[in-house]
Amino acid sequence: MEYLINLAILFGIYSMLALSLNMLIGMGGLVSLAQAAFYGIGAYATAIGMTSLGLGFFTTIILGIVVNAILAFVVGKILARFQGDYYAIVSAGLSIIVFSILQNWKSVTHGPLGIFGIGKPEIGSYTFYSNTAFLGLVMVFTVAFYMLYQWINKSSFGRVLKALREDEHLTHVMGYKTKQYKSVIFVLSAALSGIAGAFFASYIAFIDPSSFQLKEGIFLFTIIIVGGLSSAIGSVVGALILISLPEVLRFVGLPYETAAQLQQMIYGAMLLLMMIFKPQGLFGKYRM
Amino acid sequence: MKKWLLSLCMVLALAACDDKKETAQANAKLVIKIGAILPLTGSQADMGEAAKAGMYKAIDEKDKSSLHYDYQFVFEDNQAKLASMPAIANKMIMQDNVDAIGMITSAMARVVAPIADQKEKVIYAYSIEEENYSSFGKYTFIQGISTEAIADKLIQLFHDDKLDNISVFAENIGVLGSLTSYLDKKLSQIGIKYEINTFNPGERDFRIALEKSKSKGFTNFFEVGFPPERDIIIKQMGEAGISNQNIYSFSLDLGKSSVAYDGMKTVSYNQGTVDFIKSIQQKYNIDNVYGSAAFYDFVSIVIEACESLYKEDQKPTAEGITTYIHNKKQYKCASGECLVNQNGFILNQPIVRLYEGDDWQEIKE
Repeated sequence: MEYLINLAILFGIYSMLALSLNMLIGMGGLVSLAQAAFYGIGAYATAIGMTSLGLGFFTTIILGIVVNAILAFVVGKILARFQGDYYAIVSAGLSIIVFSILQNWKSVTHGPLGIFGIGKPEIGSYTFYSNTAFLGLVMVFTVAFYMLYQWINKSSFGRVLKALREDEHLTHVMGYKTKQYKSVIFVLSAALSGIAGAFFASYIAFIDPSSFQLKEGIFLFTIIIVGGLSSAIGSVVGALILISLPEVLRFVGLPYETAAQLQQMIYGAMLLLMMIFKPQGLFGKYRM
Repeated sequence: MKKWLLSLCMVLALAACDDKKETAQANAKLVIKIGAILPLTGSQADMGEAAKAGMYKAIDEKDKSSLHYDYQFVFEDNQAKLASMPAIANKMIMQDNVDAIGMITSAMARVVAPIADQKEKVIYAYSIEEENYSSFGKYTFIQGISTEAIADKLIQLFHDDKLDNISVFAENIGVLGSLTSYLDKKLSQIGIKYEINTFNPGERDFRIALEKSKSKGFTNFFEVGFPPERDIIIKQMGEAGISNQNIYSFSLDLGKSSVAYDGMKTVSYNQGTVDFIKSIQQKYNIDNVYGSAAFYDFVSIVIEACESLYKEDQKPTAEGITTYIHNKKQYKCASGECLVNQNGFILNQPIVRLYEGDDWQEIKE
């Protein structure tokens, strides 16, 4: 049971990340690989805030949101000048820069040795110490993310984003300030990723830069591709599949000597088959 | 008559089977499961395989008939990812019923320690020397190497070779980062012209940085990295026209297939004695053995503790195993003698060897 609760917590955290990324890629068509960077900044804001500054968990969430929003606002201004592949490459660059800072700014982040002793969330005198209670809190936030996604999706802001995704030039000609829309959704997505990062730091109680590398951004991208672009349910199902599939394979009963390698091969083959037969993802409403 | 005989035979056969079953039950040993969460796939898979070999060596060396428990291994792959550690540890404890879990870094142990304390399981990892490292878990043991002692040996080598300058290229990752910090401190004390260039895991092109160092007048170069970065940087040093005699490299239990040039010196930190390393390379057909000694020690000490507790008529609980290791203070390990402090930190004796040339000819220990 404890094993399933741990998996459910990870599923919740990755669902939040996938929903925030799908707002950017699915709705706005802005292929960003920088999500791991914002996820990392949120995690480090909580880690540093709780262990060095003595702040409460929810205060550190706000701190992470503010830091992420400021950074995303500045970077978003630059990114708004780019489209398509260029946008993805520049955002990947941001991810590498942030990883490098986390790895090398040793006086603040402790570099590769990481930060440990990160506490659990508290409300009044109640501490979410048990994994079950922590899971409950994660699920509340996951549902809130889901509802926020749906609300934006149906709003006029969401409709403009979708128009921008289909044809940025035409949307601009129609009188919409497309650069501003791109900046706003980038800032929002970054801020939300920071919240997921805060939960990750508190859950795992120890963080180091290895969890926030570019490959983590690619993993998040894979989640929403498998689940389906521009779909809230697709983000959640994608997270469920990519988190649980490798775990399910642990129970297949493969011989210990080769189990790890075979699991990777089966995992890869299943993703490949999924992409062949469902190239738009399981619940995708838009294909890149 | 025939029917009667047949019935008798069947009854006898069944009785014999039952008798055998009873004997088997009486002889059946209780199982102690030792788990290991290792990177068995991905870029650090070598380390995982080396750790596995160390575990097998520890059990293969024992006379199984003299053991009071049946020791079994459970392996799980985590590709060195922290995020999956709590779930895997829980699976191992609740599903596989392991009694002790080994892992490759103290970072992983930090994540698993609260779970292990709650479920009363012993955990073991290896790391750099930091005496408070084991204090984050009641049943946590960290085996460490003294990076300061290694830095001292390196300084001695530079001094012996009469170097007046050295440019260090160091990977910013755990144990190597710690070694580089000590090296920086000690190089500044001896007044040699030096610079430290750090790089992140995954970097592949060092040519510009090498040219920059050359333009600053550096003629001696020292690399401190894990493969594949280690091998790439040495090759690029060769391409940059740096003489083999001026290239120094660092190795953590690497095998002879790792890059080395004729005339180049490699300083190797070994977790085990020469005999230990050779035997593990030959018997288990592996080249890089970083991790073998630590996991050999892990399994050895757990077996020793369980067997000792059995003789004292005590159960091999986490409390019992922990108390046994703490009380032992010093035990025989792959590097000779290891010391255990009150936090459960196990200090490994640093064995540093100097090799020269592409055939890794040992010069001195």
